[in-house]
Amino acid sequence: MNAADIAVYVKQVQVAGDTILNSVEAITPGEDVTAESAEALLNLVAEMAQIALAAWSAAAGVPITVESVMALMPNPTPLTPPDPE
Amino acid sequence: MKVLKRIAILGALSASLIVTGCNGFERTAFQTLSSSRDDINAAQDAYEAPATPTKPKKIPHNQCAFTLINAAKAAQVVAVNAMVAYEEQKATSKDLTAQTAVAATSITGLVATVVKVKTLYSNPAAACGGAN
Repeated sequence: MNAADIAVYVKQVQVAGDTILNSVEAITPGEDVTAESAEALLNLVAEMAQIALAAWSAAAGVPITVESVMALMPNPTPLTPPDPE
Repeated sequence: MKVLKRIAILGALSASLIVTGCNGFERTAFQTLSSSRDDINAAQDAYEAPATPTKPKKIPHNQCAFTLINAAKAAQVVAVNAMVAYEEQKATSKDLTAQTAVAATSITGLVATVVKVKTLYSNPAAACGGAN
């Protein structure tokens, strides 16, 4: 996953966050959401997206790191020579 | 308190969105390499296993199998090294286009080689081009 992929997911989360905020405001109309607090919440969502990416890696199995990729090397023991034909 | 509830809702929903919606190149490559490593190691074990009256060899101990399995091991090393370079570059660069292409190409070559190795089990003659 590269930065562009992450940006797509962050955008999706931000859209979902807007929807949720609108929904919550409809239920509790007496409380205002200022631009600053909304922005702070969206920043929080972006941070959560990063955390969720790590959670996704763990949920799908092994976290992908240099070390875990290196562990995918094949058996280092050389094959024994073939039988004479 | 209401703000805290909102944060909790946002966190839960954003996490679930990401967890269910993410399936990028990196994970696919990792899973492919994990699968091919297991296939190649199993083929090596089968190649090395002695034949017994009750357990015939699954892969012949001949030149063809030796060459194909070694080719697959070499392709696996190349692909793993490409993904290691990808992971290292990811930490320092936002543009992974070139390294993604390198890794994808090496994995494509690896998969083709592993398919040939798998054929050693079912049809060694076909895997060796009729030589065995």
